[in-house]
Amino acid sequence: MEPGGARNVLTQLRRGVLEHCVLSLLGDEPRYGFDLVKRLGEDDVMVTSEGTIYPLLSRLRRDGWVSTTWVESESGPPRRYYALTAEGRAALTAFRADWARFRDAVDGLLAEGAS
Amino acid sequence: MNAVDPLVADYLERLDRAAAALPADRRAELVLEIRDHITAAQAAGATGDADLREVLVRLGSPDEIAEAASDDRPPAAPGAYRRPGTGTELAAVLLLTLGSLFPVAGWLAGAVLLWTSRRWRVREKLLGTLVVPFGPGGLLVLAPLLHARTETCASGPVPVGAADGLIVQETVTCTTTGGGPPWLFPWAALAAGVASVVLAVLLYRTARRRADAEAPVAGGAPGASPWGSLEVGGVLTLGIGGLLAPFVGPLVGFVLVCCSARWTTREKVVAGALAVLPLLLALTGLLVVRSSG
Repeated sequence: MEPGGARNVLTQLRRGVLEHCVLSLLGDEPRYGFDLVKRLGEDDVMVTSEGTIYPLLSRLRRDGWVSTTWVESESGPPRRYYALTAEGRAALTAFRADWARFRDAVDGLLAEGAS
Repeated sequence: MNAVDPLVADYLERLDRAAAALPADRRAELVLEIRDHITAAQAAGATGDADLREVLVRLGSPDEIAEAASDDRPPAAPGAYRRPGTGTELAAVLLLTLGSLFPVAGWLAGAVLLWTSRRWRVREKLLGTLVVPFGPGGLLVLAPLLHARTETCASGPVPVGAADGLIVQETVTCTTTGGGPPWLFPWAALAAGVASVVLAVLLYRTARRRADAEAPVAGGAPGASPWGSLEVGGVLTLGIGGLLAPFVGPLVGFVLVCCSARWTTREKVVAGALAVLPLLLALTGLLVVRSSG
């Protein structure tokens, strides 16, 4: 399969999952946008283009799953600080359950075809 | 604040043009966020041209970013998620205690709801059924039957001596058998009432705690309840049918319940057993009363 085809599969897989990973990163404490992007960008398989995280964060904000505050920073302009809302937390809890079932199902199916 | 590097300025301008299709506020916000990201990267140590280029490469092409921003789906409805409801468990607990005042049927309905709930373990369900079977109200009805005091009176002539010879008098002698100690009944009933209420509260709180730990239910969707119209009709007939048509009523209810696709076999068996139990007890009670009368 050509590289283009493989990239398409990953793109499809990331869809819907990436935003919940963002929610999870905010699970313990609120974080700056830059921090989130850096953390997600550590794994190439999760993010190919760091800039696309910002539209994703905007969407999470519009959906009401994430709230933002501006915090003054000594070393530059005020920075955006993201936090989970109660709804976002509920969405995250639901996703954790769904993902576990989905992942186990896929692993099971892939294991059958491997022999 | 330092002047914006020409490399960065060029990048941001290309991003602005790529985002031309977006609404003005989102376009401006996007450019602002990317600009702040670059500033933050610079503050974190990306100083030279090579570093800056790497930051921009990692950000991705302006076209990609703008495309991600316009990749819109309708926003999730507010209140899309709610925590799972515990209405069934509340009804179960109320019926087992207060509902037991409505003879047999009330408690039976509560017991069926207890056993079909997915939020209680078998151990807890057994407790709920056996700690005060038929509920405090049921005991009020059954206890007098079990502790029936029977008085047997016999009358017969008893010779009584008198000054001028024997006189025969009619005397009635009564003996009382059975019954528990007089103080037992009201106290036992009180203890039963308190025990069942305390247990009901504990059961409900356990159910509420377990429900909160479950995944939230999509707002509006009922979430696979074991109670459809067939199940409700079946259980009502099981409980109240006995009053309308002895034996046949509960049997019809049991058949309805067996037709349900929402109940497991074990739940159906329990419903059937609970339906048969009061009938058996009533029969036993009748036989006991008849034979001792």
